[in-house]
Parts: sequence; structure tokens; C-alpha cells
Amino acid sequence: MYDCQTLMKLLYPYLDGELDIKESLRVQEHLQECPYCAEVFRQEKGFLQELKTSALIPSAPAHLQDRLRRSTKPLVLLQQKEADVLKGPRPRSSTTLLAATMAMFIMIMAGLILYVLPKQAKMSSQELAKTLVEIDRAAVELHEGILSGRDHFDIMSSDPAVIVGWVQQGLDFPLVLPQEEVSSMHLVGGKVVPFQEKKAALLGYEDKNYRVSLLVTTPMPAQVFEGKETPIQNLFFDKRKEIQYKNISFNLSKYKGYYALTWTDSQYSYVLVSDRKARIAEACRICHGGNDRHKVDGFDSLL
Amino acid sequence: MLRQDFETMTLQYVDSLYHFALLLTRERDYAEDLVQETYLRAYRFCDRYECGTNYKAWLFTMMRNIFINKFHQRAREISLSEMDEVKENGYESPNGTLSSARSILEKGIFRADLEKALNCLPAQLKAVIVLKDIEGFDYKEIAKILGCPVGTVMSRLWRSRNFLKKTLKDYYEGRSVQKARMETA
Repeated sequence: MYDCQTLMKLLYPYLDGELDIKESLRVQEHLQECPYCAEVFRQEKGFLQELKTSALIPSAPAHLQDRLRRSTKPLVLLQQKEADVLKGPRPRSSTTLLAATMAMFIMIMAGLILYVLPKQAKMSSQELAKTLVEIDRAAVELHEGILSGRDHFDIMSSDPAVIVGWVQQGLDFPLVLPQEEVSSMHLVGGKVVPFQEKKAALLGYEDKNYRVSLLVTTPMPAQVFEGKETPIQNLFFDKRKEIQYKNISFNLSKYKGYYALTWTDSQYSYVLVSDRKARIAEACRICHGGNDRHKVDGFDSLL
Repeated sequence: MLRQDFETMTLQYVDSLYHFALLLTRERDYAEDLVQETYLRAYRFCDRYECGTNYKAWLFTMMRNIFINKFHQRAREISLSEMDEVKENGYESPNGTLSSARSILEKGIFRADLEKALNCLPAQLKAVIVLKDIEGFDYKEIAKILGCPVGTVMSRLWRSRNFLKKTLKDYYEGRSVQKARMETA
């Protein structure tokens, strides 16, 4: 039979139902023999019971259930799309074929117009510079709006699949985000924003106590600055710096204390906004830190 | 688990999940974000849940892992503030504690006192009380959720329950003395 000292050690495991049958029987045996321990156990049992019935579980806010239900919708849509892809293309009706032909014709015409028009109505470098300034400034305003709480993301999640699934519904171009984390930054949210008469995806990344915004949209005017640093008067910017890296022209500017890095590749235009240059460089690793081909070694020293 | 069942299965624990998230993050906005992250992760990986095991414990473990991995800053702030833990004391009898809870009239006061006492506990100790005495997990499940050995769970339970008994007793005695003084006056 257990002694009183041993029994006190087994007090909670016994009352919590953690002892096996053999041990439980030995405890019970002692309790029948020892009125002191029996009284302690009886009081403790009452205390635990009181704790269980009196402690209040705060109810989740009423809107949380709706928020949770809504949050899986993009994933459901993604899964449906994946299932459709696995099933293969559906047989096309003659109407679908006609529509596809017309769509192709319109795309060819649009391509021709886009190719010919810029040559006919070429913007002056000052006009392009002004456009770039507007782009940076708009991106900084969006970044600041989210930070100050004036504006909010449409969806908050650190899961790229969830963000893409949600944001993609409002975009007219395909958005692809890296699925694996290679940087210490992680996604916090995303939204679709009107930008320079187009649509853009605004994505928020966070690392410890700082935030970086990435704006992705369809290609904007090419970069035009030739000098290393070009001061632009009366346009709110301190200065603008052009960086050539891997055949892409980057523009770094500062507005309202925030740095904005703008560049355009063959598919998209991007603007990265943060309060420090080093954070901009770190943010590049979100997409370009994963494999050797896309690494951006040495880029931070150019900023 | 079928995805169709996911919503019903998971939303029944929304209050418990929110409570635990609040315990981890200590802020409503953070807590809501953490619940949503957990919900989404659970949805994506619900095919990995082993039928027959405790689904609520699976969700809680997932939530704690997300908190550590995704809410770095918050997790660091909380762990730093946990440096001064409750000291190991001898056994505290629940005798005086129960006196305050016994009377129906004092039920509301006891509940308020318990809430106050729970809030005085460091998060690590409060967590074991919440997980054991309120949520009803067993020691092994709590150890898995909190990522610590079963022995640690047991010693934390001992300390936190003793602390609660002592604090509640002090509240009760304090009120009794006040009451006696008022009657004398």
C-alpha cells in the first residue's frame, strides 16, 4: 500500500485520470484506510470541479465564423481548378470554337496596335519620368495606407496559395507567387488595387517588426534614366537612382521617407516599397533566394 | 476526413481555438488572425489527420506551431515576459478556496476572482490549466500541444493549481476581513 507522501505525489494524476487501473486501486486502498488523505482528495476533487464549472471560455467574436468560412473559398476554387486541369480539356462546341477564333483575332489586332502605337506616339523622356514618379508615389501611398490602418488587405494569410486564390479573382493577369519560404519574410495579406488605369496586386510581407509592400501589375513604360542619379524637381522626390542589373533597369526613389524600387521584366512591372534600402534588398530574396539561377547576389550593394 | 465534414468538425471548436489563440497572443486581432491561419492550414492538410486521434488536440498543436513559426515577433515578446515564473511552493490546501465557491450567492464573485487569479498566472502556467481543467486534454496531449515533456506538464499543473488555491484563498480572506470591519463599524 502507498504511504501518505507517495499519495500526495499521485494526487493530481489520480484525480486527472492519468493512472492505470493497478495504481488507481492502490490509491483507493490507501484512501479507504487514511481519513486525512481521503479528506484532502475530496477537497481537491471539489476544487477541480469548481474550476471546471466556473472558468469562463471567452466566446469567439460573432464575425469570426463567417471570416473562417469565407477564407476557405479561394482554396475551394483552386481545388476545383486543379481538378478541372486533371480532368483535361472539355470537348468544345462549335460556338466555343468560333468564340476562340474571334478572341485570337482580337488578340492579334491588339498586339499590332500595341506594337505600332507606341512608335507613333512615343512619350518624351520627361513624360516617362513623370509617369515613373507617379507610379512610385502611388505605390508608396498604398504602402502607407496599409501601415497606418487607413486601408486594409482583402485577405490576410501567410499562405501564398490562399492569397493567390483570392487576389486572382480580381486580376486580369495571372499572378504567381513563390510557394516556399526562402526568406525570413512571410506573406501577411493581399488585395487588388486600381493602379495607373490598370489592376495591380498589392502584397504585404513582414519580418519581425517591419513591413514591405510588393505591387505587381502588367508592364508599365520602360525605364528612361541614363544618369546614375537624376534629381527631379517639384515632384516630391529627393532623388532617383538608376541601377542596371542582369539586363534589367531598376529605379530606386525616395518619397515620404519610403524607398520604392521599380522595375519591369518581360511579363510584369513591380514596385517594392519599404522604409529602408536593406529591407528592399532583403525583400528581393522572397522570389530570388531559392535557386542558383534566380539568385540576386550583389544586388544590395548596388542600391 | 472528408472536406465536406471539415467545416462542421472544426467550427464546433471555434470558441476553444479563439480562447487558446488569445492565451498565446494576448490580443484580439492577433488571436483572430491566428485562428484563421490554423483553420486554413487544417483545411489544406485535413487529409493528414489520423482518424481516431483527438481532432481538437490536432488543431491546438497546429495552432501553437503556427504561432511559433509565423508570429515570430509576438512569440518573442510573450516569451520574454514569461521570465519571472511562479515559484515552486509546498502543497496548498483548497479548504479556504472552496468556502468562497460554496455559497450560491458568491458564485459570481468566485467566478470573477478565478478570472483575476488566472490572469495573474504566467502564460505557460495558465496554458496548462486551460488545456487540462477547461479543455479536458490528457497529459500526453498537453505535452504535445505545448512541445514539452509530460513531467513538465505535471509540475506546471501542480504549481498553477497551488497558485490558484492560494490566490483565491487570499481574495476570500481579504473580503471576509473587509466584511467583518464593515459590520463592526
